[in-house]
Amino acid sequence: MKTRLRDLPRFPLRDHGSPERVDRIWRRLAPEVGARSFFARPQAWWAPAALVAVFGAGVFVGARWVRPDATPVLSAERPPAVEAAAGLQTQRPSAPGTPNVPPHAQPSRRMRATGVAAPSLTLAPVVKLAPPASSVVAASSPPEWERLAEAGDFEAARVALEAKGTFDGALGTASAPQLMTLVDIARASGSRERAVAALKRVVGVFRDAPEAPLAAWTLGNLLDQAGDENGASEAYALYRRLSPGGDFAEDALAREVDSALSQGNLELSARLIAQYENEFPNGRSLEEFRSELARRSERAQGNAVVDSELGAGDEPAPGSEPARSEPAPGKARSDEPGASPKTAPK
Amino acid sequence: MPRSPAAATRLRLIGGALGSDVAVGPSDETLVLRARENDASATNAFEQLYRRHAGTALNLAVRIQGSTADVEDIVHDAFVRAHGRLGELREPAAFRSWLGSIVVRLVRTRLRRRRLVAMLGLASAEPVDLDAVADPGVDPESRVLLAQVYALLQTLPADERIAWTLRYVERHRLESVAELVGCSLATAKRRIARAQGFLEEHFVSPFAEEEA
Repeated sequence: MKTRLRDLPRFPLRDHGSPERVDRIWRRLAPEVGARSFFARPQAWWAPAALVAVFGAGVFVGARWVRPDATPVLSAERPPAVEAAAGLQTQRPSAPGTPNVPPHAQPSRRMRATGVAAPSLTLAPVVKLAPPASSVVAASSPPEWERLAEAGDFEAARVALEAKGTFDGALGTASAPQLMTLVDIARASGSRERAVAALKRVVGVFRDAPEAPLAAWTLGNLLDQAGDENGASEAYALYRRLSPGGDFAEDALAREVDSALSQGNLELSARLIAQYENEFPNGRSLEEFRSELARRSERAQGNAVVDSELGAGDEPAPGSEPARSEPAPGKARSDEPGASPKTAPK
Repeated sequence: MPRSPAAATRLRLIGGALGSDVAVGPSDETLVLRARENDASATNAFEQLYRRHAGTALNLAVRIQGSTADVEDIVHDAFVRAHGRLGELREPAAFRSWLGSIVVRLVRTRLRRRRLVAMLGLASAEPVDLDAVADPGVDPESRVLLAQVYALLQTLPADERIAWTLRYVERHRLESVAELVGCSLATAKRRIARAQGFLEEHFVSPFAEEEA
């Protein structure tokens, strides 16, 4: 039989609000209520004030240090104006943990200056020229080509530059940051020679400028691509002198070792590898350099024995290659499709 | 069953939970306004509010849940929330029902969480503690009846269970149920009706044989 529950009798219910329990809860509650009494109130003026301060700081930082035309970090597309520049380089893939700074992803001038170690000890004699006085004037009122380049329109910047005069003319009056902008313009227009000229001026005239280490590194990359191994080695060595603790110091030395090995200069290779081992005991390429040097040394000794048996002045045996023609480990890997080079990225 | 006057004052007949206490001292409105001030007296005013309504909040939580599990945590959290949102209370005189709605929301959250945990097999269903709901002096027949009601309520969705409990255990008016649950009057009626239908369908009177 069913009962209508609306007709339930009124039960006396138990009261749980005993003074002990109420006191117990209050002991837990009181500290929280007391602590929150100031901060949790709508009268608390600090919350909107803090929001305004944070927002204002963000606006200030954005206006001061962030370029409005900067390439989005997560963008899947490259800016069209820089596409041409990207085609200039046959990049080596980056080794794990190595900062990879392709030219199209290089930060702005202001950003480039940060994070680069200051030049310390200069080993090679340096001829320092006084910076052109016009660079100071140029900084106060940036020319049209510079403004366009800063906005990412390198083609328009090149046109504006040609309208004002020649590229070489601008080289003579530009400051270090402007020279780096000229490098970008030259690379975007496919002129490696002009880019190299601008970079050489940075490392020659503005060696103390914050842009100099990066200029040396970039110069090494461009000369390496152009096949000027000696010039590239000198540029990498200069980078290491200008920025011994820089991001690319290990890679620069590795490139020098590569160059020395590919040229067959075993003495220089051994010295550079020893330096690499000393400065980067856990370097990525250390083992490979050692084995490659040992292999080449054995081959050189074998060739020496053959030469001595054949007699001085004889023609080399058929099939025997000169050491110089053999690529260095890094070179060999980077030139082979599908290879995974460990040497430095460009 | 005869009861001492002291015991009688401790008991609440169903329906008196949120409306029978007589406030002594400043009104809720006065205390809320004072508690909103940013000075030392604010905490004192809030403590008065707490001591005035903590018992109500405890009873409400126990009766909806059917047990005393975690009720102190629920009441503690309810007053912490109430304190943090005191500025949002548009009618300071309605503090009591506003606090009740906070308690109901917290209990509903806990009920749903417990049900989910039980469904996943991570814990057993929480048993009804009849001693927590009914006064120890309630006669055995009524205890059996109440036990059956709470056992059936446990199988209902939390919203329907809460609405029915507020209406028929706490004896709130429909408008008050809607306000406490935070829904429209029509929704409250619908939930109560669904729960009522379910209970009437499955409820078996313990006095059936006698009635027959």
